Amino acid sequence: MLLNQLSSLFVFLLVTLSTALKSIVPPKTALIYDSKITNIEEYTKLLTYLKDELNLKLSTYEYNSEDLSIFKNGELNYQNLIIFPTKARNLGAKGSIKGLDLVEFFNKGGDVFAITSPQGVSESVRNFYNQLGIYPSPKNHELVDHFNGLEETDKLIKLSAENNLVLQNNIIESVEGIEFQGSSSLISNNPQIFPIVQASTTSYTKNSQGDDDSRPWTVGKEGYLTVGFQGLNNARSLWLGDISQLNDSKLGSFGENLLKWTFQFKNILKSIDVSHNHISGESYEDRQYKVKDEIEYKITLQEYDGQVWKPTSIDDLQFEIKLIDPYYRLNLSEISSSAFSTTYGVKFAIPDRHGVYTLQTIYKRPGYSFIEEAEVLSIRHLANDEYPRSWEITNSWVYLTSSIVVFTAWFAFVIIFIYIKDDKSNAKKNK
Amino acid sequence: MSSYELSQGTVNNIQLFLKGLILILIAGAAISSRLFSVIRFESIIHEFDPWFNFRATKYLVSHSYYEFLNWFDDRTWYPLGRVTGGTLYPGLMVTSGTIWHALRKIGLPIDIRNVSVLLAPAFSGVTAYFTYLFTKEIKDSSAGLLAAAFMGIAPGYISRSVAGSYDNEAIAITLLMAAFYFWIKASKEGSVFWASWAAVFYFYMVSAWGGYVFITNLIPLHVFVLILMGRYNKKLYAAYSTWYAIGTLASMQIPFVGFLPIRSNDHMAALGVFGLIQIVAFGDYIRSQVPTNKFKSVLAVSVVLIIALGILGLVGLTYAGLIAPWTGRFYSLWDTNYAKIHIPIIASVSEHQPTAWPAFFFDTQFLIWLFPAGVYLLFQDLSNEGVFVIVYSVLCSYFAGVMVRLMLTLTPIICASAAIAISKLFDVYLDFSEYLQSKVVVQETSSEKAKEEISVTTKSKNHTVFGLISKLTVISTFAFYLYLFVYHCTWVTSIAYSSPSVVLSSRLPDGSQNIIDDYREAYYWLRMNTPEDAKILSWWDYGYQIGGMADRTTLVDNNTWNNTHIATVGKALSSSEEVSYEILKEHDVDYILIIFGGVLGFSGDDLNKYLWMIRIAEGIWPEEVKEKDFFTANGEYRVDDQATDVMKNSLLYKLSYHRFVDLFGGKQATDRVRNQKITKEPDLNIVEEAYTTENWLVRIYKVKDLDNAGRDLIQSSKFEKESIAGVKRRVQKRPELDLRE
Repeated sequence: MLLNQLSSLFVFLLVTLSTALKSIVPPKTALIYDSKITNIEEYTKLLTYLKDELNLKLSTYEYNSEDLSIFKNGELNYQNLIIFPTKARNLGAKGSIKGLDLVEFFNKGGDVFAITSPQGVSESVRNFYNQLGIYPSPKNHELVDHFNGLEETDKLIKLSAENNLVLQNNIIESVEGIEFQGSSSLISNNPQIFPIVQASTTSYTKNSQGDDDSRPWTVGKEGYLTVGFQGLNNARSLWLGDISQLNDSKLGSFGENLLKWTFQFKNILKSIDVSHNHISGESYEDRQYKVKDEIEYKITLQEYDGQVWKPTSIDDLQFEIKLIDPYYRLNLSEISSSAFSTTYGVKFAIPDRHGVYTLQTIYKRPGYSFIEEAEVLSIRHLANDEYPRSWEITNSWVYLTSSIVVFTAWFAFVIIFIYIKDDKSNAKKNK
Repeated sequence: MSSYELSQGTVNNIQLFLKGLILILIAGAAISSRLFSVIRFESIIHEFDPWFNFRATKYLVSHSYYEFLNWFDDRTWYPLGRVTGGTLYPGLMVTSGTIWHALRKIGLPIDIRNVSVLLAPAFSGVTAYFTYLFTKEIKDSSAGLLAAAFMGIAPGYISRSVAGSYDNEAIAITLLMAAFYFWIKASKEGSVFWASWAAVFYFYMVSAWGGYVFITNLIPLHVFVLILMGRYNKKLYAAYSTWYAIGTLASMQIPFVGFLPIRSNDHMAALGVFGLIQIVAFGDYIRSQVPTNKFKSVLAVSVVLIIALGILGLVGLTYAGLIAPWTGRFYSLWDTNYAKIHIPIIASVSEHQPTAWPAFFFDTQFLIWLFPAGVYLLFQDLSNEGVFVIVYSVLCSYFAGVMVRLMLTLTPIICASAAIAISKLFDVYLDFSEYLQSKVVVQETSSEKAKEEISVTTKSKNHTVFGLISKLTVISTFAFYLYLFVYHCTWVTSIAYSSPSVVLSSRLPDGSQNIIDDYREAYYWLRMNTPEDAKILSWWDYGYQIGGMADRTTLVDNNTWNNTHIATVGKALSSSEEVSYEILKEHDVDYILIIFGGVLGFSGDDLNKYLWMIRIAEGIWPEEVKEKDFFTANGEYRVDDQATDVMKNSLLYKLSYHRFVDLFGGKQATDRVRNQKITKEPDLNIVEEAYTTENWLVRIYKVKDLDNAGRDLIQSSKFEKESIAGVKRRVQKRPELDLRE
């Protein structure tokens, strides 16, 4: 018990230390903008928020700056990227940052927050999002809604919770009071996409340059205004269709929540411990599991809220024991909780089939980091002396009795046979 | 006079000494001719199955026997695993394990590898000795010595017992001959002692090789034939009952055999004959009690009844599922096309193919035509032992004609029969005693008796001038044949049977030997460069070698116990990339290993085995994999630009020809095995090349991870290729997307 407390204290210390380290060495963040479209002076609130509230080490770059390179020696040079709309085709000095580079950046664990607008959709950003299954409307395509429009042109649209907020998204709480002006995007069925804000039924995208009879990019609810994406490596990316949501006049909880989610200050889950053992407490190493053994599986999760790691409150966590296909899929229930983590567990009997099993917990919910824990274990068969002995099975008593009877009868017969034979021959001799 | 005469005892001693010397020399010849492979190459385990035996032996010597018996092997048949301890014949491993321990006890710590490599040659010497004893029981010791000499160097046996050929057969043939020798001895003398020895060796044989079924059926058949011939006697009864009771109970102690002796049709003959001999014994007893004429009618009726009942019972029990029907391998013994149609996995093994006729001459040379002569001679005096040899030779000649590997069980009887024929010949033609005798007699002419003798001998001398010449002619002819035989055996052994097949060798244009060591190169790469728990997918042929040499987990191996799992691998290799990738991920495959002979001209590569993979996969998924899709409209098997789309899109095709065109640097790329021109680089997305050996014989690919962004790998690698090539799309088109779910 004391040991347990000590070890949790130790873990707690480690966690505090790592949190502390995080604030000591803030993640490097690059903001890329195009001064032809954006006046960076209008975003002082955003910059302060990123630096002071989120503690990021922020540097801002003109899109074609010589100093801008997202990789250094093949490793990420920045943890986070914020890309404002740009007129240029590619980013970086001489267009060195292409869509493929952004995909690689993302695959290596970098978070990308990009905004496109009808004034500027760079090919890099577009290609990157197309690969994720998000198709932002191209340049000059602008979202119009003649029913909810606020200005003459109907391009500034008032969002409402029932019309626009995607239900069950856990990234933002509300869109009340948000006035949106910008692009809309199509999204594919990729399950890693988390739509956040949807276009309203009465909206469509209008191409200000093209002919009017062309098919609009999005019509009604097929368009999305804000879309999140999470890679299998838990790197996050967010596409936003309106740059003005981040400027000094509009930046509020909507924009802040999006930034917090993208840069991993929100909805972070992780497993800190996975263990399993015999119900008796013996570990797998002490005594290998065999078929039908009773074992206990435990997993400990915690959640990060931007400041500290705290216990989770999940009730739909499931565990699988599989051999190609799952044999069992069991619900994990909370068995204990500490100040900074929650432990879930289940007790079960291993299937009556030997083999190399995978014990896995997969938890993938929209908006949360993915949890995938798998361990490959071999479950052996019964050894030759682990089956019940014959006399322990009542059915066998019939056979045991009959064989013993035959043995004794045979033995008796032989004795008697010899004895009688001797008697007869003696009798003959006597005659 | 007394100076010339030797006492009987001295003669016996000299004979014994000579016999011993000859047998030792035969053993020496047998062992040394099997060492070609070690001298040519190195002390290495050969081929495929021996690698498993070797791995199991290593496990045995590093663990206890209890652990070995209950060994659950999680490194094969991923993710099913194999209960190896209960599904192998432990005789071989236990034998070499015992030798290894014994040598350590006497202070000779020898590497287990060397024990394994040299086990087969060592046992071949013992085989020669048992062949001697066996043939001696049939005829006499001179035939025995000849048989031993033949057995020692006959290529038919050497093919499975060269140094490094660490297979079950290596000791099984020895045990086969031992069991037969003791059986003959037991049935001759009616001795419970010898019958028990036969049972002990039968048990050892059961523990060593699945071919024990041959003994299980041959001995009952011998007894059955003898009963039919009316040669039943109490000796036979004692011998058979003892052998069957002890042998069957003992054989059931091997976990892999278990209850088969009472549940499988393969063993029913032995059980049936055991029952029959009880009835015959009973009948015999009755006969001694009742008059003969009555007995005959009783006998006729009861025999018909019993046989009818027996067959009905067998059919009924088999139908009810209480007795296992015959196995596929057994059916393919009777119908050579059976396996091809019903069980492609059995037909795909080259050693299960019917034997080509030249193979008989190749493997036994002049013994093959002496063999019928020997059998004919045995027919002449038709002793009980002779019947055994006749039954053995008839049965085995058929089996050897059906399946190449059964040549091995035929060889001992060929040697014995041929030895009987030659020895009979030598008995007559090598007998110069009358000439020697006459000289002795001529030297001392005193008494009248002697004079008479002179007249007799001179007569016979005159008579045998031609006799002598004919004798000498025959003897020298056969001496020449024997010389040729030895020459042939040595040549065959050195040329055909001494290649380890793990290491290939070829001749360079200048005549020097070139060693192709790609297999070991690849396996060693796997061993050193992949994580310890990496799962390797390959065709099952290479499973044992990967397990033994690379020490990595495999999906399927040469044990072939689960046809569905093998079909899964076949499907993964013969399907398109999308389908394959799902299978690969489902089975956690990390690497794919294939054999490609197109650069070297090695014809035993995976593309040539491809049709078997497709057939086996088609057996399980007839809707998804179709053999005919791989043939062109003209019914040709092509891999060049005229190959079918299914062929070109299949994973194995892509793996084989990935970067093949580049290798030729602009020149025409030609596959040297199939002699076809490859023009286009296949589009390979789901794997990346990890390693290709020096001669491109083995190619290893790493299976890519799932795409981080949730794309399919074909889309992602297309994007990558286009981006690197700089393909630009100025006009952005609206994507056609499915309705969002």
